[in-house]
Amino acid sequence: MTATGVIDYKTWAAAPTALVLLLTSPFGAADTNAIKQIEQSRAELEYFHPSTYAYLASTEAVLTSDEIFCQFAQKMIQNTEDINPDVYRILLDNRENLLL
Amino acid sequence: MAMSNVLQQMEKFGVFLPRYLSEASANALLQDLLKFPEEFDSRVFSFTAAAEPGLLYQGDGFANLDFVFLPKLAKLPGKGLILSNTCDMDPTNEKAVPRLVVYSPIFSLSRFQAQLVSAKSNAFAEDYIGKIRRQEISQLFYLPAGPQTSEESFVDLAQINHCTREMLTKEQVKTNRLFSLNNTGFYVLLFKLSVFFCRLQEGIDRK
Repeated sequence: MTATGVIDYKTWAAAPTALVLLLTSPFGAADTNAIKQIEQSRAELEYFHPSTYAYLASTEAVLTSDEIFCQFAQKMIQNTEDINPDVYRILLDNRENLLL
Repeated sequence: MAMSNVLQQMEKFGVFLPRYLSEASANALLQDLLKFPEEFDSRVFSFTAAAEPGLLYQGDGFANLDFVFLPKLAKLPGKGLILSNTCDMDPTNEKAVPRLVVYSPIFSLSRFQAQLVSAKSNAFAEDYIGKIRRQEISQLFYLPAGPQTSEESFVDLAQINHCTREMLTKEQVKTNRLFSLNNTGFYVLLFKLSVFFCRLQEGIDRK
């Protein structure tokens, strides 16, 4: 992680377990036992990724890359917006009739 | 895309893909994500859970769920998308506490478009429905029309309801499960859930 808090994509790719732990675990990086346990079960770690890659995906390194994941992340992050307040009011006011 | 290029991208993208996927499945997912949001179509419903009739999967569409839209207390039956984690709903995983299943309502896109036309304009409605179809509204998950959902629809990830796991019996799962998402649909759903609920950019130092 750089001084500005931007995680380098290459760093993530090279050491996903440590970063997953840093980003998701309450133990913190100092807990070597936790790191060891996660290293031992890396094959089961994929379910950690979704809660971290949304963060990673918004980092500068990913948003400026042309790799496929980054292109996908750019679409999912940069093209995403909050729901329009007027539109949401229409949805909430009519939801009983819109429910399938 | 040339195969050599696909393989090259697979190596780079590998850390972001579920590790349980076969090479063919990972490649198919990669190709779908490359084309996203175009071609996010009925193929997302191609996964059939027939082999595991009682098991519920995260992202399953389910009919005859109960909804309460507070502050109104009336209970309405409707279709919903299951948000709970697959493992947490697996009856074979022992839990010390009662299992709850959380789900969000599935709404009709065409009826919503009609409401927008009525309240706004044709042009506004068309533009906004396009954003929903392209998954651009963070809290709405778009679902294309499919074999079990004959019309386009969308899920509001913020309008969460719940029931006990025991209420969704094996027989009900068999009768009321509308669809299960394939790898691409599931991946996009998890990404949307992550962005909506788990982004770390709130900008607040909670010391």
